[in-house]
Amino acid sequence: MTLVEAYAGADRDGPSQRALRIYKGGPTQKKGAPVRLSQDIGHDYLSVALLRKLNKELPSQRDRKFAAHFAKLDALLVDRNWDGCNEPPSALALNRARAVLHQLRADGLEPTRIVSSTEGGVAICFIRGKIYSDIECLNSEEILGVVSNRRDAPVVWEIDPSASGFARAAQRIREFLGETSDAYDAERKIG
Amino acid sequence: MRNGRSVDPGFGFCHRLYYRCESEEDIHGDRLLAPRVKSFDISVNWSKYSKPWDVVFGYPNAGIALFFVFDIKRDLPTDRSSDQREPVKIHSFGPVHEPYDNNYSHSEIAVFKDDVRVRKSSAIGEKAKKEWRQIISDKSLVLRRPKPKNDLNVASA
Repeated sequence: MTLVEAYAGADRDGPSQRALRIYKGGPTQKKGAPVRLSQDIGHDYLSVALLRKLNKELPSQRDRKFAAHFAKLDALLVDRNWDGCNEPPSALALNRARAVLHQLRADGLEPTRIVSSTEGGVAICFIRGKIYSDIECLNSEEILGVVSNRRDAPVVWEIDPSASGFARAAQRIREFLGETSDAYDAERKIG
Repeated sequence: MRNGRSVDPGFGFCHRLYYRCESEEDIHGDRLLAPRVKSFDISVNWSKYSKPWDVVFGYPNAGIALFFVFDIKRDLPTDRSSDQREPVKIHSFGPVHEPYDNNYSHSEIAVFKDDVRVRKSSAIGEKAKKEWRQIISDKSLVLRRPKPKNDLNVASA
């Protein structure tokens, strides 16, 4: 039994049932399609603590976006159709790329693409117009980051293979891309 | 065809180099994607002796990218600071003419260390290689996109 079902079962015709209907989409939404509650609607019916728990149970839009990138990593793991020239990414490189991706999801910094590297490894790329950055987890066990504006010399740096190293890299890239974490912070406050 | 012609070292700064990109994974928009660029002995065709489409002869699904000689003649890494005792080794990147019997324009972007051509990729530092691939990506221009091969790409909206 999910949290939502348990909550609905406690009071079938009371305000909680109405809240559940709204939570599941209400009359204007497709039946049964889960949606996130806005703060205004949610606070009319639910306590802040319960609202937070309910929203935590549903995948956010960010989770759905990141799911595609995690799926790409899975595809690289099982894809053995290599052309013979390039080295496939090692298990270590893929695991590190997965750890980096978890960090990026936690920070709300969505990559543009994930590709295998011709040097052997996996690269997580961020592209915003002419601004480019990536984090490359190499089979050689190094993790390198780069930022470039396509005009000046690119800047390459080594990334420490630790949670704090990944967090620092994500912060550096976010600053280079000129993105703020305001939207992400606002979403967190609701969740 | 080579027809017995000797090697030509006369690369002009404004000469173009044509590069074959094999799949959609290799490009993003009008540029090559840096992690998909090889760092060592990249094969190209030299504009002095070929047209852009020569580079995809026999590869009907491949794409074409170009870059200029002046963009790729570099001494790397740019950042020569080091926390090690030994000074950072400088790598010089530049085109060399390596004609084939059936492709006289064929050239390679070679790496030199102390004026000696590096023959093993492992002899080049990872940071220098990474910076080099990024420069190639930044300075490249895709003239023709490769035809899609598979659906492995994940691109966000």
